[in-house]
Amino acid sequence: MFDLQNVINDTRIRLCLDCGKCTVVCPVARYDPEFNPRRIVQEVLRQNGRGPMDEKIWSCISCNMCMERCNYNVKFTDFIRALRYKALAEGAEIQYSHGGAPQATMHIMAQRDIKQNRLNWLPKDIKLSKQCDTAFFIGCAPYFDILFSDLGVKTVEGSKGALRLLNQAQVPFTLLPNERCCGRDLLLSGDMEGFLALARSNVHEFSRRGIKNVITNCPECYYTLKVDYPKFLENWDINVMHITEIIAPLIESGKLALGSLKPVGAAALAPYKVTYHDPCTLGRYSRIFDQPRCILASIEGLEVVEMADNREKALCCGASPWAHCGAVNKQIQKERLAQAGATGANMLVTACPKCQIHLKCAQKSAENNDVCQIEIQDICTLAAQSLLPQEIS
Amino acid sequence: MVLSMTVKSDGSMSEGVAVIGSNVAAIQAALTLAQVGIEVKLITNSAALGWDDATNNVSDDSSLDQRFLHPLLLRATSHPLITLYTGAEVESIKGEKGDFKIQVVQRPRYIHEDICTGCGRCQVECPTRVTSLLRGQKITHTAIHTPLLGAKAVPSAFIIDKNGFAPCQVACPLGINVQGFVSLLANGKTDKALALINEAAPLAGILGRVCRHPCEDNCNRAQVGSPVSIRALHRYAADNALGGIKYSRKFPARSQEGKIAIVGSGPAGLTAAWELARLGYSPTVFESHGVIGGMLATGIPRFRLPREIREREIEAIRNLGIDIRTGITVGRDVTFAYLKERGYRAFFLSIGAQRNNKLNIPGEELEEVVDCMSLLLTLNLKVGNKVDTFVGSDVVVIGGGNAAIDAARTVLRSGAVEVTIFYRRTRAEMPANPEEVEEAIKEGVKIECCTMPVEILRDGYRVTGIRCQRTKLSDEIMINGQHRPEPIPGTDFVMDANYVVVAIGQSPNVPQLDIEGLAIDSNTGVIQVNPLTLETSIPGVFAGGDCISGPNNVVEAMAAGLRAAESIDRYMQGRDLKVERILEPPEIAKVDIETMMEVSPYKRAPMPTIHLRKRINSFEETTTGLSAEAARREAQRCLNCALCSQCMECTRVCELGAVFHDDDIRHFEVGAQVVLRFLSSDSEKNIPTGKADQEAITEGVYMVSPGDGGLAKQLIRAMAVAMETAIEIKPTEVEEARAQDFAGLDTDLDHPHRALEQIAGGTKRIGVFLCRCGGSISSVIDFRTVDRKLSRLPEVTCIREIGQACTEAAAKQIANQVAELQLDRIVVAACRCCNSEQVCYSCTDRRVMCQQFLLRRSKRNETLDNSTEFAPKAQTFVEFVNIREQCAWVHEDDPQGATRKAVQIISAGIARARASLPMPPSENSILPSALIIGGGLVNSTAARALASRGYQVELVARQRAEQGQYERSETSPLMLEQLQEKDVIVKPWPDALKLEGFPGNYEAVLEYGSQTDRIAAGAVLVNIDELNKGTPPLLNTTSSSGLLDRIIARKGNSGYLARVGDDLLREITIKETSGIFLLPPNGAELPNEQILHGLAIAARVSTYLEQGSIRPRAMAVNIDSRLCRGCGNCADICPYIEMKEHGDGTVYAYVDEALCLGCGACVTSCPTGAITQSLQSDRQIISTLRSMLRSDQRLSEV
Amino acid sequence: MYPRVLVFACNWGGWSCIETATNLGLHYPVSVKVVKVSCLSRVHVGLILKAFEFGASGVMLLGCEQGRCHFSADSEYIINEYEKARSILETLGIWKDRLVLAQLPAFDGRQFVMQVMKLIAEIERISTSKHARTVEPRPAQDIKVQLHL
Repeated sequence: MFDLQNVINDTRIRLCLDCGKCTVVCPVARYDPEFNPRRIVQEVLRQNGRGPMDEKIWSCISCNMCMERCNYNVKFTDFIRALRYKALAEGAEIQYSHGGAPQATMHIMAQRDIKQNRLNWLPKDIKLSKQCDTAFFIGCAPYFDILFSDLGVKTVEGSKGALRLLNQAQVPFTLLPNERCCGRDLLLSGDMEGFLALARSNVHEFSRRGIKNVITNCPECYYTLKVDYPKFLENWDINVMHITEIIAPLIESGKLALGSLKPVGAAALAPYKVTYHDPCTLGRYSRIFDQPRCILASIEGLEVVEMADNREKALCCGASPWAHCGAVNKQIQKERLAQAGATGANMLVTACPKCQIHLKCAQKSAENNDVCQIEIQDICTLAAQSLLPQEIS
Repeated sequence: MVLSMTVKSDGSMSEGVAVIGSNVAAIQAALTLAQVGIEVKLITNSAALGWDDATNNVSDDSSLDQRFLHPLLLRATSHPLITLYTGAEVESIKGEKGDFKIQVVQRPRYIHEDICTGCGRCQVECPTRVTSLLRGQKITHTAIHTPLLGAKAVPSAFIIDKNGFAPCQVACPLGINVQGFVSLLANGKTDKALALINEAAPLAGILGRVCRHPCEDNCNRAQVGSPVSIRALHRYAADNALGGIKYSRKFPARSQEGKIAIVGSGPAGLTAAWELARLGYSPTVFESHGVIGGMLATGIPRFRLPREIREREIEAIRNLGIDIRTGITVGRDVTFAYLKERGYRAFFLSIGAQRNNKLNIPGEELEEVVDCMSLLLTLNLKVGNKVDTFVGSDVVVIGGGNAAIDAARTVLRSGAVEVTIFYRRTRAEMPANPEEVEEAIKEGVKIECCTMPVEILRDGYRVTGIRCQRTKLSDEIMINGQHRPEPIPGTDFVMDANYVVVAIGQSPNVPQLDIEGLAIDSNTGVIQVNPLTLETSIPGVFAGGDCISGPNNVVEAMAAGLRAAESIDRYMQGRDLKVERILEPPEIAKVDIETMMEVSPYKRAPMPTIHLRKRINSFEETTTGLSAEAARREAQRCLNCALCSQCMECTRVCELGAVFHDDDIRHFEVGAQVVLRFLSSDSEKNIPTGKADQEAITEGVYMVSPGDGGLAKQLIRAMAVAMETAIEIKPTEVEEARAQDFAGLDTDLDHPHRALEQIAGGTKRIGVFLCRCGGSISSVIDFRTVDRKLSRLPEVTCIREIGQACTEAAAKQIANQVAELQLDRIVVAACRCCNSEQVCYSCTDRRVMCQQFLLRRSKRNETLDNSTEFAPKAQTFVEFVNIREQCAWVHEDDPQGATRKAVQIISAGIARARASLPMPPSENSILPSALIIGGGLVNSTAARALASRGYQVELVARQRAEQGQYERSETSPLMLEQLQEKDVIVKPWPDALKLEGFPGNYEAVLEYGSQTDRIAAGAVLVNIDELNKGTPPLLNTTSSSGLLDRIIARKGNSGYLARVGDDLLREITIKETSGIFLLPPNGAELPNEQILHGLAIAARVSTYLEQGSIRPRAMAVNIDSRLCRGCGNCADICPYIEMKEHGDGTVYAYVDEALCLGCGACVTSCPTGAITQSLQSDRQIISTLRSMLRSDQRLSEV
Repeated sequence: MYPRVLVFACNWGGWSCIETATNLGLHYPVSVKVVKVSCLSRVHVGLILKAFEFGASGVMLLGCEQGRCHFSADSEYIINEYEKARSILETLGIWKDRLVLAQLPAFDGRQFVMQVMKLIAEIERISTSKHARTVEPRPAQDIKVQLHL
């Protein structure tokens, strides 16, 4: 499977001018001087893909800053992913975070005969339609909420919000009681077998229920289904949409109206300032920048302010595929939270459950005073809260 | 422990302390003494140390329990400075203080303590059930058993109950192990029973029928019912053993030179030939008759001893390689001289007694007057069962011996109408076997006692009748010890008879041999021999059987054969004939049937016989032998007088050769400077308690009363006693002891990983060693399968079987493999289950030994048996897998499954070994000094104790200069004096106190107003109350700021005793590393108690300081500051972890490895995996899971 | 063929129970495997789930009875991990009862064997009833931890 030449061609590595712009913008390199995308590339090319892989390949958080900046569109992220695949095949050990629980969960999910109970959080008021070729893809939110309960994350709320919005917008959809994780984290960490197993199970689920369209509120799932599945799965013809891609146009065309914001927790202040954090997979990867902002803007009495780094330049939440997360990642997260704090916003809004988790994790710190403790909220949760009460039945 | 089998009296060994007793206090005291570097002889009366003995005076204690005791026992028994003498009594204590000589008597265990793994296979095989009293009640168990009858014991080696020799065996002229074969039969092991019999003597089938059975006459079972029917059982074994007769050889056939002639193939001759053949000779037997067997063939009628039985038995002997020449009469066909010429060096004369004595009365010359010998001969050799010689005739038999009875019964079977026996004495004097007489009478033989023949009446040449006379017994005693019968005049009477059979005894026909110089008894005509050697007047010529005793029974003759064989062997080898031989039987076991023995309710099994009708005119065997279950039940009637029946089943089944039946009581001398005798029984409780509960009998010998209270309290007392003793012994000698025994302890064991640093990276070379455990593992788990499966695994360089991993030999074997194959990791699959130095609740002595031989190199071992050079090279990582308790034993019911599981768990071990990574070595030396914070009696006692052990001690305390009332917490002037004379430096109470540094090397910063004082110390003793008292309190337990505060916080805040309990439990299992000790609150108890506490804590402190250096525990964590996100989860859990700051202000978690207890809770709490335990990283656990849960077909994919 | 059960046993109380079971001459199926850890608080969700990932049909956490921890560690850590793992298993549809926490007094071999056999029975019950069940599970919040004391 791993053929260096293919990888080199696919990722256009040979076009690298050794200019080092990638390293300049790389958030990891900023805090870990030893990490250097350019040097990794050169090293691998010099050894012609043989020899032990540089430990550092695991430090990359695949935020795609480098590709954003690279004038020749060299795909560092894909290249590193390929290297990880090779390293893993050669018996490298992944430094799991959270004791490898997320990966274990995914691997168990990959088993064919499994029958999940992933919908037991589903509120009565959400209307599903029978016989419908559009499925809402929930992703791993139910698992996240258990695994990271100590962080007090409520990613399922995001899914609920999304479903409410769809109900509100009269968009028919069904739910898959036995959908699997999209497998992005396994893909990123080079665990191709795991990824494919999950992908195939999902395809099986979809075809079994005759699904043609998939809506999701998780950028990771969105990008993986939309971009990666076609690469690895033959005859994949499912139309994948992100929730914001559906809601935003409706709002613009006035078909859907969001009300004012119900006070949330302690931060019920007016004027209510929020700042939007672009998840890498939604922003840089999928170029979805305006829709979320449009949704936020349409919420009454909500002021959206931008962070120093935003849109294409948005700083990553320091995410990593639940592995090789450490002091450096923490620094990135600290910086991002600081940026949010600097805007004077009461709340950081993101469209990605994982951004939420990672940033909340960073906030739990022995050095509380140093880390900005800004409230973190999911965009769908927020939007759903703003729906007028009588319209929620 | 290992020593206890070998140590003999050694006058020079007057080192150290003798601790006598087996209660927990004694053990703790011994351990403490050893740990402070003093040699200890631990002498205990019981066969092993265990819970019952140790705690019979301990009141229940919540904080400490059995969890503590076992680790304590193991630490003690495995300590190189402690020698344990089990089952040992102290006879006397001589000498004076400083040089005592203790006379010790040690009961034999009959098991090699240092070999036996307690696998219990012997117990399964042991056929002998004995009863003993356990806590007042009678319990039945096997003769070989665990020392404490099931309870956990150290040492765990088994023990055999013996009680001398059973009367049956002593009574048997052949010394057959009667109890042995009987108890084997009781368990249905017929073949083994016969084998055991044939060890002592041949011809089992014959003895089982015709033996005179003196064994039964002496059987103790007669005291409760009737004796065990041993002869019947003997016959049962012979007739029913499936394997047939197999005689073992002592030396290979024909391995011995020299020709031996045996004259006569009777029981004596055959037995001699048999024994000589087993000894490797090939003797020649000369038989004058055409048939082999002497009396067996010609004398004993077929209905008692069937021909085929006789032939079978004799054939078996012949097969040993004996040349039997029939039809050759020595003295007539070949001469003695001729045989000598032909090179025969030794002779055995067993010609028996064939010549009939005469009646010497008128009419004896008539031809119808026959002698019984020729009668029996002719009738015996007749073919077929139908004999009609005496059809229709009346026969009179004269005599009262077996021959007479046999003759009578034979005649009866040959068609005689009426058969009458005339015997001149009363029935009681009859030499014949009573049961034979019974049978004869049953068959219709008439017996006329007190009757002697006077004349045989004739009609021409035919016998018509016989005239007899009644007799009465006179007082005159004849040579054979019987009363001479004398006729009563006028009591003549006549009885009609057609035949008269004369059976009044025979005498040997010695002259026929015509050997000159052969001394003969003039009046009996028997050959004269030395009763011990059976040597005749001619050297090299021996004689035995009837020809030296006159007519006697088979078993005596055979015994003579054995004795002669022994002599002949000695003669051929040129050894002394007499030395180490005795005639006296060994002492008979004394038994107390009522209290101890289990008596089977069954009656003696009668010997079944054929119906009378079938006996007349038939020579069919009269008796038919016991049935299988009759035999079994009969055998179970045996009382096992000697307890262990010496059936040798245990010896056979124990692959390790741990059984040692010849073990014997040992007397030896142990030297000691001081003797501590710990009393445990309540009867001894009344001994007054003096200072520290010690009572000197003579100076230097102390009685320690049992005391009361919970375990923790007892231990404190014990340690106090030990400390006082340690102080009594001059430090110089302590130094020597230390130098001798602590140099070169290879402590790398506690950190297997550290070893690996040199060989990090590259492919691994893994060696796997499978312990058979003397068969207790290999009998369940199929090692060949295991080998086949495991050899598929990558990087497995070799897979080897070893007999017993917990021995030195095994350690050498493994070490050699390591050196030879350059192994960097080895996996030992045995009973040991961890490779850290800790001792957990369920550890065993074998596991400790396994570890010690393999990994620890102590000077003592070196001087004893230099195992040093064999210990594995330092850079070998050792992983252990328990396949005994965890697999072979618990799954003995499912061998295939067990084998599968074994493969999986061993491969898991291999995976762990492969996943192990090198770690930097870290070791702190410990300063030989102590700092005590807080005043009071306890503290100053501790201070003085430590000072007199030669440590530098500083005491920080509130004090008062002038006399008078002072607080408990303060140091009185008197105390001050005492402290000064021990040069303890006393510091005033500071305004502020901070502790810095690290375990083994602390620095206390004392602030007095403006100036500060710094004290460096290896150990710190703190009194929390003291610290909390006053304003502001020196200790602020709420925040976990200072080092001291954090350590105290980790030690928990339960009550003092409970807390000490926890500390002690950890000290014994995972050792103390922090060096911070908590002192009891001042004034809680009486002064006496306080002194105890002071001494006890001093003991613990010097135990700690004595180590000289500490290394982190095997399970200690280390934190990768690069991966740490500073979330502080771990610090919330464990006070030992503190958050530190990088230069850039970001925080990270830090822990002093030496402090870490190694529970691993922090690892769980860490989101990034920055915290790892070197011996159980996630990597290792996960690879373990993978190999364990993967089904073994997929093993090759590991 | 018995279901595969993996026992995470604490080195102290837990291990002593298993040892005692053997010394008492008790038996349990070979499909029961034991992994020894320094203390139950060392076992986290990741390891528990790994066991299931590798094919265990049941996992038992075997440790010292409450208040008897060798390190006087608080058993709330393990209970926390235990609850998380059970919720995950529940959501995965593997069923939470495949995971049990047994905090037994030291040397209680009988209890250990009893608990294991109980777990095996439970597993068999689940795996037979699995396909008959409706997709109407209880919400993950009100999962109660029962300690087998």
